[in-house]
Amino acid sequence: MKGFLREGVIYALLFLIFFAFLFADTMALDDRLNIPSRVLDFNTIFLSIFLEAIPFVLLGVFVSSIIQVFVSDQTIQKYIPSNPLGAIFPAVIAGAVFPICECAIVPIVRRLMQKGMKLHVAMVILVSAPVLNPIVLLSTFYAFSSDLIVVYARMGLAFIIAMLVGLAIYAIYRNKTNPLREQFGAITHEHQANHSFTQKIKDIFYHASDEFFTMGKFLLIGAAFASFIQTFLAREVLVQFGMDPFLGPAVMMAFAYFLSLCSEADAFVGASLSQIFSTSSIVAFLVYGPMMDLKNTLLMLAYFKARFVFTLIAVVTFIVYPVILIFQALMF
Amino acid sequence: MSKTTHLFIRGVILLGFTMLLFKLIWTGDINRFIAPRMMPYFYFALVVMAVLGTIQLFRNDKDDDHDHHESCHCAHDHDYQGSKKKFTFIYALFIIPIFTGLLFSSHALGSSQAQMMGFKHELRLATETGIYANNEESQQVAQQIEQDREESATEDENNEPNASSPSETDEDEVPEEYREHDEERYDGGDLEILTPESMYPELKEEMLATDHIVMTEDNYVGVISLLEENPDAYVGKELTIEGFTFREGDFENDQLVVGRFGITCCTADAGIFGLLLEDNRLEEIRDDTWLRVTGTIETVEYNNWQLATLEDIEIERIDQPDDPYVYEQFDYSEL
Repeated sequence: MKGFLREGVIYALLFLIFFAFLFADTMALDDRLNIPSRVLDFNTIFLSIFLEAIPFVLLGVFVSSIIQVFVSDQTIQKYIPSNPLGAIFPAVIAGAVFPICECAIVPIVRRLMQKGMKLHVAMVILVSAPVLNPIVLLSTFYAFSSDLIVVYARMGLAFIIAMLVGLAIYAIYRNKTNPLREQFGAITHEHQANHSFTQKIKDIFYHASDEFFTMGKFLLIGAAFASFIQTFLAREVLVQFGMDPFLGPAVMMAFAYFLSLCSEADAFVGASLSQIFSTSSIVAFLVYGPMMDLKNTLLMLAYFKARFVFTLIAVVTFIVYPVILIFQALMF
Repeated sequence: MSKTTHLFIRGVILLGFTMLLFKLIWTGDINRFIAPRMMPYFYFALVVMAVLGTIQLFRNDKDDDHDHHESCHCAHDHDYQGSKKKFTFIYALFIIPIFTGLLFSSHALGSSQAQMMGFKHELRLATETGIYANNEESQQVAQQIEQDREESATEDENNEPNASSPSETDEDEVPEEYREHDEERYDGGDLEILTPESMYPELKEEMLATDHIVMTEDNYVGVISLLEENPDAYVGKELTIEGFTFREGDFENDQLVVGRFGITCCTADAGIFGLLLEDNRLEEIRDDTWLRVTGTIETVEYNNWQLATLEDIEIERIDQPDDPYVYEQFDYSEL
């Protein structure tokens, strides 16, 4: 009886969605209900962040599913140097070659770890892929075409920082247990060999659907926070620290974190702020944002233990900030 | 909840997103969220969602159970364990955007968000928050900037965008810290960020050649950027601009901005592009009114900054365009 009721509710939901699908535009609810435009702005920005992320999350989920089903643990091991420190440099190169943005990289990295990739190597890929990325290079180059120092600094510093993050994570977590949440720990997949090809394809889709829900809930929460800040926090609040050599980069890093922009688009936002922020602050914005942002943090929480996620944020933050200050001291 | 129920409700959610995406693409409202150049990704997402949703509905609990349950800890089964409350919350998270998306997709950002993002907020803030605070020193700095600007403007006209730094005669009067700032901003070409001139060379030629510049969706961002960069070069020409109106807190009643939002990837990265106008007749015009304004380009000083504006304007009310935003056009192939 209870199950019957529950099914009824879900059918009703499906019907309601379908009804809204057919007739929503004839209802013109936004006018009729007199909803404040600020709330609608919030909804629009929230949906835009979420919708924007969907295709890339799906791409990441598919790549990760394909790795899961078709790439064996041995293959991964074979391509990573066994020397833990020696593996860091190739990992940055790998991160730089693959055009994977911050939404897509999380499930992929988690899968690589399940396949036996070392934590610090995986983290190097996690922070480097979204920023050292051909598409991001092009958009940055375009936005700062007359100020190439920003382009070089973004790419160069990201490269150095990714390696430092690898070293730090190696130092901290060398002897610790796996920071993946228990259910995502190491897996044994001998059974995969027995599966038929159709079963493998089916598995890919099942995995993809399951991961969409695992990541989706965190993505939704992240998008809600980020759009809340966009709609209700006037940019002026952060912007008043503009040219301060110490506060400027720090404020821009916080700004990048909370805005949670796609790494492909952040160069344009950065360029629009370049009148008021010093060059090194802009570089801080462009380097830190793709490595760490609110949306990305929540996506990571889907797979990693909270403690590890916060440690990683701290590590990245306390590496990016001094590196930016050193860069600033050397350049200006 | 049984796993079957989970599979069912997830199927419904996935189909809900499929419908949402389909509707947005069908009505074109998708462009209120996403720049058109991202569309291929959304066709991909639409197809994937439809496939996943359909598969999910027909996904049999037993299908997952094929013999390897003990050995495969692929995570998915753990997703189905937890309290009813938790799942109600999680599924509500997914269901709410489906509805708000279907119901409120036609909303476009307007004056409320423009005020948050600020028109020239950089410039206004710079004057308000101390970098160029209202004291004697800052007056000098402002003059210095003016001077630099004019000089660089002349340099621009001589087609020497990378010409050397401004004169150093006045430097003694300018305190060290201030000097640093305006050097970073205006010193010659190499540190100046984003010169629209180099981004829109053809548009610049066109604008210099014509007597009447008409702003369209395609040239909107370019025209505004060029006008901001060097307003003096276009003084005296006619210009027609369309956009919505908004005022910021410190505007007079007869001042407002006519502009549009420019989008790069998604609405979260929107920025406002527009012109500050001043005219008695503007007093009666409310925020969020769409106007077509034609006038003569003139420069005006606003908080010590030279901005382009329009004089002797003709104002005409228009309907909000189907697509209220403009999109930053760029062509990677030209790099």
